[in-house]
Amino acid sequence: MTYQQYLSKYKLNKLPHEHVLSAPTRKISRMNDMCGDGLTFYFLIEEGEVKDIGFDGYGCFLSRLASSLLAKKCIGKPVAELKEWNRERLLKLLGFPVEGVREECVLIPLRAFQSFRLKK
Amino acid sequence: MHRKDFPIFNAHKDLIYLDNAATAQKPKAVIDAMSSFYAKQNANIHRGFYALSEEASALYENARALHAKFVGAKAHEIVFTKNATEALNLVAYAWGRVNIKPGDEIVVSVLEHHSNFLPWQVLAHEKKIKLRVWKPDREGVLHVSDLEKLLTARTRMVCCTAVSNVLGTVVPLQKIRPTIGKRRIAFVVDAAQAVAHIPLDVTEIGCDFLAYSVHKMYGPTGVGVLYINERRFFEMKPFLVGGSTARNVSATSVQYFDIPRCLEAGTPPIAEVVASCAAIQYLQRVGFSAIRAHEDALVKAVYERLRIYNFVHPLSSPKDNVGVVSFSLEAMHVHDAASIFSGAHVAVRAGHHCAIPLHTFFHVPGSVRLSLGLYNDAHDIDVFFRVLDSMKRYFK
Ligand SMILES: Cc1ncc(COP(=O)(O)O)c(C=O)c1O
Repeated sequence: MTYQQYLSKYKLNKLPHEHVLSAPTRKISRMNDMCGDGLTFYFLIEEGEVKDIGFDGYGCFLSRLASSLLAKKCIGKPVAELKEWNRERLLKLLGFPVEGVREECVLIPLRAFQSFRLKK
Repeated sequence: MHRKDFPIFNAHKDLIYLDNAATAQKPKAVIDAMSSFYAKQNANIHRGFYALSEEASALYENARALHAKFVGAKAHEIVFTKNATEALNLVAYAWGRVNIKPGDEIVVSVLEHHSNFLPWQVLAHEKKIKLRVWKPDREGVLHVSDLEKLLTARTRMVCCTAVSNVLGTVVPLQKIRPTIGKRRIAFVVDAAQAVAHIPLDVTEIGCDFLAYSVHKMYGPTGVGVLYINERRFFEMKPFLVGGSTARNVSATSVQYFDIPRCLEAGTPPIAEVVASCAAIQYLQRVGFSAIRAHEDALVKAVYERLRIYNFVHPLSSPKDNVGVVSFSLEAMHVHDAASIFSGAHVAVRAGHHCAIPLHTFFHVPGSVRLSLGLYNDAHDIDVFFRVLDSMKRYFK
């Protein structure tokens, strides 16, 4: 799907996984320094497995869409697999070209997931 | 109207450029002036005792005289900087740090671009002084009656923009000097957004300092202009020091040149300063009354047409507006809107436009901004609205 098709599909509604988790085991916030947008990600991890991911905050459609798609892909997977995500893979998952500066929007969830990795 | 004078529109035939508040495109006359200087007159200024350097120096000083005339000042009251931001920082360092004492107060409007806000905020923190914020009404209009309430015996500066870069509304600057009294309070004007749209006269405004950037008035990047009222000269100390600032230097002492030279350290952007004359001449050839009439008709039409879009919320009004329309969108992030416009070759700005305090005042995180220049026409506006129409479906 293209960016505009996604936008037409979801309009201005909440995206899948765009909600707070009631009892997360980890919570990570990340900002886009270019524009000041910020999202918070909630993880529920049990026995090394990602049981659930949610997010909320103030972000553009691109950052929220990337977060939503990435969350969907990661739920039910071993935590170790989170670290296999990188920029190229995320852009591929998105499936449409992202122009210049807006790549920073897409990378917000990736940065959050990566910092997750650092602290284990 | 004047699109043909601007080569960028030959290179980008479909470009609908509605981001003139960020920077304006350059007419061929300005581009030619730049290359002509480099091809025929290039030398450093104020240092070579040879004909080419003297010619370059004369051109540079001519530009100073032209800018002085452009804003109703004397030539020695004009200092060239890198941009309006540097000009305002210069005031904070060269005047503010010398004259502001702990316990003093500075008044700054909430309309300000960060460039006319942060220098004062930093000064306030450093000198332990109070920054008082002058707020507009709900329409974004500043009233001197509100300014009056903020003035105290300790007020030392009033810093205000001539035109808000978000709202486009012209601030009635002429009313400020009578309100703040003759002398004690330094009056700083940020004219960056006004300079391409309305004539400015520093005597009429009664300001002590006035700053603008040449790139917003169809001239080259890299040149800012700072007007300093000569009555303030003796209260100032150099900001950046080094080459070109000193008459005499010993191991332990220095004797600076007079203003403006002691405030222009190092080699300035000579070609850009010289080419800025072509921008002034271009503006004067078109004429401010024609520019105002043209932009006013267009901006009124935009505001009128926007009324039927119930998902669009303008922050300002067409009254006394130099051609800026900023609006927030019902639940849509402004960057997504800008990307959709960009897909149709329409360049608009989205975000906080370096005016976060103003957006906070309006309780919105950002806005989409359309800002007009003298080359925009009815076709540009039609294309803008075609894109806006296409966005209706997201708001159903
Ligand atoms: C009102 C206002 N002041 C100051 C500036 C800063 O101009 P510059 O970036 O050229 O220093 C701008 C430019 O965006 C502006 O719109």
